[in-house]
Formats: sequence, structure tokens, C-alpha cells
Amino acid sequence: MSPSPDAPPTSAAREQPEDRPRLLGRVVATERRPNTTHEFHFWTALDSPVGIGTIVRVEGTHAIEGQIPQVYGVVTDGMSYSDLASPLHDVIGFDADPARAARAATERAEIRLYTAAVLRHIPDEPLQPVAMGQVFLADDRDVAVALRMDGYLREGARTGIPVGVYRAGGMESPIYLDADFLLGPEAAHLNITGVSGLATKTSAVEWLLASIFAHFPAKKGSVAAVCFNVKGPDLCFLDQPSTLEARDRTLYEALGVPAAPFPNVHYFAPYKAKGYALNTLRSNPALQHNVSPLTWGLREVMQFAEVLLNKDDIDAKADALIDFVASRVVDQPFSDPLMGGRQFQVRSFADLDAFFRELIDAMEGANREQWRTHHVATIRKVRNRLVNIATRCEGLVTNDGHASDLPNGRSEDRAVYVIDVANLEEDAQDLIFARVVSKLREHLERRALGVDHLVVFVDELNKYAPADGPETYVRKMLLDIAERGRYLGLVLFSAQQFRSQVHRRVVGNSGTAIYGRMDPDELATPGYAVIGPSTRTKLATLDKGQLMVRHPHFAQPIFVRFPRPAVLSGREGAERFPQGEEPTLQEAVLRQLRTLDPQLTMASIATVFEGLYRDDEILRARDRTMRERPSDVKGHFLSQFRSLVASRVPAPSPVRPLRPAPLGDPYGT
Amino acid sequence: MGHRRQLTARALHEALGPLARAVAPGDGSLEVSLAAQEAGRTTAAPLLRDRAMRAHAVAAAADDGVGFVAFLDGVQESRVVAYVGTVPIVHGRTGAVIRARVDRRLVTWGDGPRSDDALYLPMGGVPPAVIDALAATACPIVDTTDDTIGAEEAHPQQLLRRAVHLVQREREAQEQALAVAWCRASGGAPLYLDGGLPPSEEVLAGGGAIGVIKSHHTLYATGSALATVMSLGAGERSSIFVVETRWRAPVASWYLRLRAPGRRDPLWGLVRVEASLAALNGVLARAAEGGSAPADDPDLAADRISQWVAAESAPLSLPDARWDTMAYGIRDCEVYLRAALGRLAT
Repeated sequence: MSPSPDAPPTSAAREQPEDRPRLLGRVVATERRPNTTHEFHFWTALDSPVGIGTIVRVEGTHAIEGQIPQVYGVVTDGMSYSDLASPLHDVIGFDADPARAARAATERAEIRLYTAAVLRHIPDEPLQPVAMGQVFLADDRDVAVALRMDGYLREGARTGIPVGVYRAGGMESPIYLDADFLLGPEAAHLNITGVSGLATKTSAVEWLLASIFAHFPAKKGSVAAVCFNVKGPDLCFLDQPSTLEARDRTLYEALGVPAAPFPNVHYFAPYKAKGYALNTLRSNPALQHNVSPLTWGLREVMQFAEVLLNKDDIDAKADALIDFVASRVVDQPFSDPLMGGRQFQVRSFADLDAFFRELIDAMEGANREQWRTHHVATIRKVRNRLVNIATRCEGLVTNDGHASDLPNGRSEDRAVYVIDVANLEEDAQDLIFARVVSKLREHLERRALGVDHLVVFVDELNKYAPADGPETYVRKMLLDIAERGRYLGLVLFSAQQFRSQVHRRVVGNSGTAIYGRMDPDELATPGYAVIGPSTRTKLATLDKGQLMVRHPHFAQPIFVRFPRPAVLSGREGAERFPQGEEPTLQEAVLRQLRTLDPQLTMASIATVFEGLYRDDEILRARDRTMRERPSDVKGHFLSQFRSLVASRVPAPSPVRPLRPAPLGDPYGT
Repeated sequence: MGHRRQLTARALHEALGPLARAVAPGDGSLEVSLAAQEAGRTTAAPLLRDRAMRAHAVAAAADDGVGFVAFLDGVQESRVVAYVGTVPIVHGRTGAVIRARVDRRLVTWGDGPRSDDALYLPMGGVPPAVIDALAATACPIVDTTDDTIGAEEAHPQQLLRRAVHLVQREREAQEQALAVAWCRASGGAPLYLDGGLPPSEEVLAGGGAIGVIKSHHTLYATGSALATVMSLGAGERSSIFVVETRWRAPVASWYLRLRAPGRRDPLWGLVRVEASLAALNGVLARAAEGGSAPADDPDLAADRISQWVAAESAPLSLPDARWDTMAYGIRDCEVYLRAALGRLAT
């Protein structure tokens, strides 16, 4: 029931001018629950727009050295209680009838009491406990000051990278990360944790890359990204626009990021086992213009043989032989008296297999067990392991020794290079990851990559850099990037579902951490003990598009919203661009050559496929054409068969002369 | 609410110096430590309609039964702060507030609570220097001199009771002032008053204030009438009777059983309701407008008001010891005053 209309207004009526900061509550403290320099408590009206993650400002009550202190904080916990001494009193009071309770004339007195963690004191010194002042909802300027963004958003700095908006009380404040702390050199790397299927990890990275490309200051140099697509079609449609809702477009506009797909994306994928269709979910014929094969020969693989060989494989003896083969045999003329002085040119796995076969035959023929200090058993073992690589990584490793690689040295500013390894065996994935990243690092060390900063995005980090398990080449490499990459401009953006299962030094070196909806079991692990229970609960119930961000400038984690990526998601892309059917050899070759010459027709190269040439010969011709990118694609491709055509014209079968008829043959006429 | 700074023990000590012996603040106020002076009594009261006292079942309200718009209560606290010889100096604090119900929640009405504090002492029983020293504290001084008590033979407790009585008078004055303000501003909207109705003609004529008395030092029934009152069942009220006093115009009153006492004291869960004749008429007039009652039946008005009072029995005002008869809105007033004015007893 309301007071009589004639009654004077109650003192609880709270009118606040629009242009003044919104008064939320008042700081309180008791002896049992005191305020400190890093935490304070305040109460609010029941209808105040305050929740976990809300940023507030406390206005001090007494000037310190002529300045009223301002304390900024973020709400980390909240509680409510009434004047009820025992729940039983409520039951008795309403005769155990909840319906009566709902009809009660008066609600009990109730409090909303919040705990906030201090984000910043102004002035910084002297650092004092939070005063019993009034609490205001932070406005845009307060948010910038509270998160120390004012330092890098000022004129002359401008290194802010929008990560999303902070929402509270009907306000939306842009939140910026500091490029110097996201992409180096001060700090670097980003780690994202969140359960799968809630548009957290992949979407957040896609959004953040778009934001970086839009806002990374020109004076800091160029930037590009290499993304490993490790599962499904997640990253296969980065150049295709999605349908955005109005609220997402508003966010893009507010944050100054174009609501458009990435304009410069290049896809790389190994071949399937047959060698003429690329092993990628981006196989729709309409999307082949920027898809290139990723293949390596013996030389490339030998440098990273360690990735594919486990500890049992590589004992000291085997390691010595592998080293000998890599340094003395591969890619150079080699001869040995035991093998009759024959000169070997080992450029491919096929050559290597032939070399080992002859070597073993020669040792057996000479009844020798040692060759250049290597025992025949070791030689057999190494041969088995190395030659087996070509089988384990079929499609990636070529037998002819030719490589088709990322354009290291020619990387383009604001370009995204996606390497699709989703359909590959684990060994091949590891090999690709190790070699690609190592080469990127080598080029960055020489300042010869083509860009100054490179973001490498790896999903499923718990698989590549697990917290426990054997020390692998890939994990060592990730640790190296995490600990030293920022000096080179090599930045690791990593993601996983369970952060607790990732090596501590990898996530620990990530200057920025992003958390999406979290699994409650994961939140129960010790790594999250520093996060309060209310914040953990919020993390377990985050909506799509909501993130919690930790950044070196932010004294406490902050909750933000980010817009839906402006690119097609994997699922949408797979629906709109279904996979093409497995092409025949002719179709596959034509499709690839058409990326060089769209006018090329099947009829113009059909003669090659009339059964005169083996598949591997045709594929070799295709690869050479793709590698050399001639102006006359058709001519170059066909020219590789002319000599074969000439030499293979079947000679007329010799006509057997007719035997003369015997004399007196009654049928001979 | 006054803006004068409250008297502190230190300020008083500095003001009095050797003129008086300061008393360390004890744990309890005089309201608690002094045994009740008044013994219970019974008195017969004339019935308004019935020929004999009887029980009336208060019918369940067709609506939610909620009628009160606001609650009024006051608090007081008296403490001995010093002795001048055998004469105690009492510091009394009082406060009163109206808490109005807005969207089922209670908020402070009007300009907020009224409060005051003063020093209570028989000014004729202490040297003038003491009066001068106390005046320096800027705390008002109330003379408790009682001509019926000789200064020489007065027992200190008599002086203390006199002081507490005057503190109570001050508290009642504040409550009455708030009730008057309500009646002027609210146009007769029902106000739940803790205790009896004040003697203000304006309040009695306004018709909005309903007094609810929890204590029963005086029972307005004798003999079989008293037996009827004490045996009222939950949800029953007594016949309406008229309370006549020297200091106030006659008002209608009746007993109402809020909760069944079971094996408890027969007075447990029993309140006495006071309503001015204007209040009864006002309730009847509103009922008549709604077509639910004849305009000349005070029993219907008493039933309606009883429904209002009963509706305030939830939520419970536990952990207050008087929860059987105390409305939650009244407890809210006391909690508010304690919070707003500092440590104050009832």
C-alpha cells in the first residue's frame, strides 16, 4: 500500500540530476569487517544497478594534502540479509504458508552489502584504508582511470586495443588493452580459457585480431597472424562475412573496428594421402582462390625429425646416425667405398630409402656389422623410423623433395595465414607446428619475416603444452615462445578448455588472460583460488559474448562484452560452403592450375590424363608449375610431358617375316 | 532532527570539574535498571454498544486486510552522568519517527526523525555554580524539581524516577508532534501508533491515528468482564469500551487477541486498541462508501481496524521479546531510531 497522495514525500525519494555521477551507496566498515587499502564494503539501495564486476568510485571524506582521495574498485562479492534472527521466525510468522508471506503487508528490512577490491587509489600516496565515503557508479572517465587506461589512451601514446565494453547501470565503457603489453615488448601473449561451444575462444580471438589490425598503431610497425586450425572448420571462413545483429554493429562502431571479415587471408593445408586434393574442410570450389598446399620434402623434415621420434627412438647411437645423414648425406653428393663408390643424391624420402637399402645390402654382402662406427641394427632402426615419416605424414611430406611453404619473408601487414591441420594425424600436426613456428622465429630473429609482429594462435593448448607428461619438442618450443618471444615480436595467442592442464610457465607468461564461461570443476582447481567465490560463480554462468579479462594494467579482472565476430563461424561456413566432393586427379590438377590461370580448361590439358603418364608424374608437373608460377601456365604444365610423349610413342611391333612355305605344300600357293 | 552536537562524557567532565562526581556509564539505562513503579490495576470502563463484555470474532478480511500506511514510535534513554552530593544529574535522550510503507517497504516519512537530549536535575537542589557549568555544555537543562518531594529527605531513586518521567514526557511530546504533523499532511490516512493515543485534539479529530497498547498496567475490565477479555481466542476482540482520562478526551477502545497464548500468560498476544470516535466514523464512512457496511455500526469499524492490526502481526518482530504484540513496523521504527540516533533503549 502506498502513502496517501497528500502525504509529503518520504526522505527515501532519491532524485539525481542526469549529469551528475550516479550515487550508488555508502562505504561501511565494522571492527569485524574493516576496510583495508585493498578491499572495502558498501551498501546500496535494493534497486541499485550493482553486481559482481561493477566498477565503482569512492569519494573520500577528508582531503589529504589538499586533495580529496578517490578510490576505484570492482565489486567482487555481494551479500544480502534481513533482520531475521532465525529462518524459523519467518516460517512461524507466516504459519508455514509461503502464500501468506507473499501477501505480507511489509517486507523485512534488507541489506545489499557488497565487497569491492581496490583497483586504484588517487593519489597513490599515502596509501590509506578506504574512507567511509559515498560510492558512485563509475562513468567512462572513471573506468579509464580505474583501469589505468588513461596512461595509454592519452595523446602521444595511443596504444589502446579495444577488447570489449564494460556495461553497468545503462552505461557502456570501452575497455582497451595496451598494445605494448599485448604484443610486446613490455609484456605479451594472450591466453583464453573457456568451455567449448559457447563462442568464447575462437570468437574472442577472431574479434581481438580484428581489433588489433584496426588499432595497432602504425608507429609500432606491421603485424600479421598465423593461426593453426586444429579442429573442425573453426577458422576456415575468416574471409567470409557473417550476419551481424544491430547490437553487434553498434559495438563495432563504438569500438572503432570495421564490422567486416579479414580482407587478406591465406589458407594452407597439406594434401590428402593420394596427393592431389588438399586435406582441408575449406574445399568448396568457390573458396579455392586463397588455399595453397603445404608440403615439405626430406630436407625440411630432417631438421625436425626430433619432433616425430620419441625418446625410445632416439638413443645416442641413433641420434649420431641421424645427424650424420642430415649433415653428410641429404642434399649433397655422397659416395662410399662400401657401396662401390656410387654417388647418391638424396633429396627425397624415396632417395633416402634407396640409399639405406643399398647400404644395408652392401653391409650384408660384405658381412660387416659396422659402417662408419654405426651398427647395422642402428642403421636398420633409423631407416625404419625416418622412412616411416613419409608414411605417417602422407600428404604433408613429398617424396620428390619439393616444398610448398608459408611465405616467410614475404608476410604481409594485417594478413592472416591459416594452416589447417584439423584432419591430420597428431604426428603431422606436431611436425607442422614445430617447423612453422621455428621458421617464423628464425625469420623474426633476422628481422626478415616481412612483418614486425606476428601473432601465432594455437587452440587446444593443453594438448601441445600439457602441464604434465613427457617433455616434447613442441612443448619446449611453446615455452620458449612464451618466455622469450616478446623480444622478437613473436606473440602467442593460445586457448584451451582447461587452463589447469596447461604448463604453468606457458600460461604464466601470458600477460593477458581471458576467461569465458568456465567449467565449475575447472574453477575448483587451485589455480583459481585467487578469484573470489562470487566471481567464480559468475564465470561459470557467463553468457555468450561475455569475458573476464586480466591484463597487466588492471589490478583486478574485469568483465567485458565483445561483439560477435564479423566472419562466418565454422558451423555457418560449413553450411554455406559445403565441402566439395573428392575431386578426381584431373579435377584437382585443373582446380589448382586455375588459381594461376582462371581461363584454363580441362580440354586444353586433357591429353595428359589419357593414361600415358603416372599420377606422380602428373602431380610433379603440377607442383612445379604451381611453384614457378609461369605466365603461360598451360604451356609450362604441358611442356613437362613433351619429352615423355616423344619417348613413349610406341614403336611399331616388328613384323615377323612370313616363313616360306615348304616345298610341296599342297596349301602353299 | 536537531543539529546540536550531543553531549559527551568528556565535555561534561570538563565542564563540571570538581563540582560533581562523574559516574562511569553503566551497562543499562535507568529505564531498565529502575524497577517499574506502577503496580497493575483494573478499572471498569463503560461499554459503547454491548450490554456486557463479550467476545467478537473478527471476520477475515475480504481484501488483504492491510490498512495502515505508516507507523509511529519513539524511544528514550536516561543515564546518570554525575552526582552533586546526593543529587543525580541524568542525561536523557529521546527520539521519534514515522516510517511509511512504500511498496511494502518502510521508509522514513517527512523530514526524518525528531530527537533531543537534555540534562535532567532539580535545579534548586544544586549550587548555582553547577548550573552555570552545565550551561557551558550547551546541553539544555530540564528542572526536575518536584514540590511534593522535599530536597532534604528525597531518596536519590525518587529523583531518578522523576527524571525518567520527564524524559518520557519529552518523548511523548515528540511522538505527539509527529502524529499532529501526520494528521495535517495525510488527510486521515491510517497511522499505527505504538501506545495510547496522544491527548492532542487535532490527532483525535483527524481520525487517522490508531493506538495499539502492548502493556497492560491498567486493565479496563473487572470481574467477569476481565475473565472474558483474558479468555479471548486468537482473532477475537472484546466489546468496545470507552476510556476516559483527565488528560485526554474519551476514546473508544477494545482488546484484540493477536495470537493464541496456549499455555502462556493470558495477556500474551493481547493488545488494546485505541481509536478516536472520529476514527471509527471515518472507517465507517469509507466502508459505507464501498457499500460494505451501515454507516452507524461502530462494531464494524472496530472489526475493520482489528483486521488492520492483525495484518501487521507478520512478519514477526523477533528477536524482540515483545514480538507477540509488537508490529513489525514498530520494531522497524525502533531499529531505525537506534541506528540513526545511536544506542537508545526503548
